[in-house]
Amino acid sequence: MLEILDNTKKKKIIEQISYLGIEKIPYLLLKTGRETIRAYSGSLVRQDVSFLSTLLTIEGIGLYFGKETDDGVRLSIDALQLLKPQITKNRVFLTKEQEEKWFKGENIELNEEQSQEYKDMQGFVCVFSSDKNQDILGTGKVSNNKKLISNFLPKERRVRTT
Amino acid sequence: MKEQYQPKEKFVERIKLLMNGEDERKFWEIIRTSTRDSIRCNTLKISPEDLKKRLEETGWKIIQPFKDYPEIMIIENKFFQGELGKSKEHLLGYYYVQEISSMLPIIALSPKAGETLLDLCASPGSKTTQASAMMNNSGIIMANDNELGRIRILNANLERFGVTNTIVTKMDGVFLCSKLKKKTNFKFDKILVDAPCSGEGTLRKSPKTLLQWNINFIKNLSHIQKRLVAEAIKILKVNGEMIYSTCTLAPEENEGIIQFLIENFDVEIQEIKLPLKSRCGICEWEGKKHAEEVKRACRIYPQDNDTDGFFLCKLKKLSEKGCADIEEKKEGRNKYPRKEDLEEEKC
Repeated sequence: MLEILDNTKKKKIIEQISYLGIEKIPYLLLKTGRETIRAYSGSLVRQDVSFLSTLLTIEGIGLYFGKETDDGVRLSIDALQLLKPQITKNRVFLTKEQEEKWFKGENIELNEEQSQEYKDMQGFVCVFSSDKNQDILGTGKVSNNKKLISNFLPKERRVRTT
Repeated sequence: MKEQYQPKEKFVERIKLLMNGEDERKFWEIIRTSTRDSIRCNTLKISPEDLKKRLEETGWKIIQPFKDYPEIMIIENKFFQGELGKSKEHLLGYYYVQEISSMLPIIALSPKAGETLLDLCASPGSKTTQASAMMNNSGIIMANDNELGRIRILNANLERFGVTNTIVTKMDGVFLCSKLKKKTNFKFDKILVDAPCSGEGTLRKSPKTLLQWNINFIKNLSHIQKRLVAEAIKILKVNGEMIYSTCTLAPEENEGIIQFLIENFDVEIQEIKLPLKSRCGICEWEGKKHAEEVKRACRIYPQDNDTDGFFLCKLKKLSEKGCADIEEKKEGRNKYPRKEDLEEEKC
């Protein structure tokens, strides 16, 4: 199933990720399956994409953008990287040690200082490295009374430890 | 090279025919060594300068061998196998681990922003991601492969690279092209056919290739390659450009395919400027002569640049001659590769 989202549906998605401060998505958005959202920037127009999807075995269009969940839209690490300049809210910065754990796929326990700093945050957050590069490390979710960041880094993006 | 990977006699004979004495000695010497580690910076996410600086800060020693292609970097440190894929920068999609010779087809094709590109045998996606970066995520890339496992790897690499301008299809390449031709008006500015091949050029990292090697395998592959290029050329725009490439040295899979295209379609072989040493395409192999212009194809020998072996050729489609549809073929107004293939097989 491939559904090209019209402007109304796209606006709804933008509303659902406004927790990050995002106001614009300069891509064509598509839904593949019930929850998966993809972003496409190529020059095919809506009608072309629809037509080709009936003709060819399409295994992917554009980039995996995120997933619709009961808690809102959870963006992929790559979507966050694309929209980095717009991300101004719900930003969590990890220490070097926390970053290493993050790349192993572990949930992150926030220290006292962080718990205090992020006390007003809820739901999904954008996780950054705290070094000068401020790399986007993916989506996390604040839980356990602002003391824990759940890790949504996909397996293929984690450091393999074995 | 381990004892069990000793080359077959016929393979040794063929290498002798392709190279002169000193060259041949250097070839056998270098294929017993590993290739250098090289990466390609993902300019969709980070500039080559920034990536180089970051990696150097973590102790990497980096050379940028080509002034015009700063995104290409050779890593001088000796890492364990797989180590390059474990860095934070790799996980974040800032670079792709890619052998230099495999970067050449897209350098030669030089896709521009807004163009339409078909990458017919795209997995694992090194060349698709390279093209997407050159096109700045605009235009269209149709990236095809025919096996689900390979498609998964392709998709994972496209995601990691932040590629947004692709349509990934899982189809037999011949079928995809013929379907696009029959059912749509869709034609491409540029096509890459990086064809499945016998892999003679990759002996340095896959010496096991020598075990599988046999001449029938090469002949079968050349049939598949002819069918792929014959269908691909039909959905290339007039004045559009196609790169045909393989990672093998076998002339049947290289110049033989180019000769087939020259004989059956209105194409012109174009000169390619590459940033490293290459040899001309060969004009005769086992008694079969190729057109003089086949010399414009490029052979990359491992001993010349300390890379893998490779072959590439750039073709420009001049007209629709030879691209007629099935009905015309049935009426005998067009040659079809199968006939020629079968004749060649008898020889």
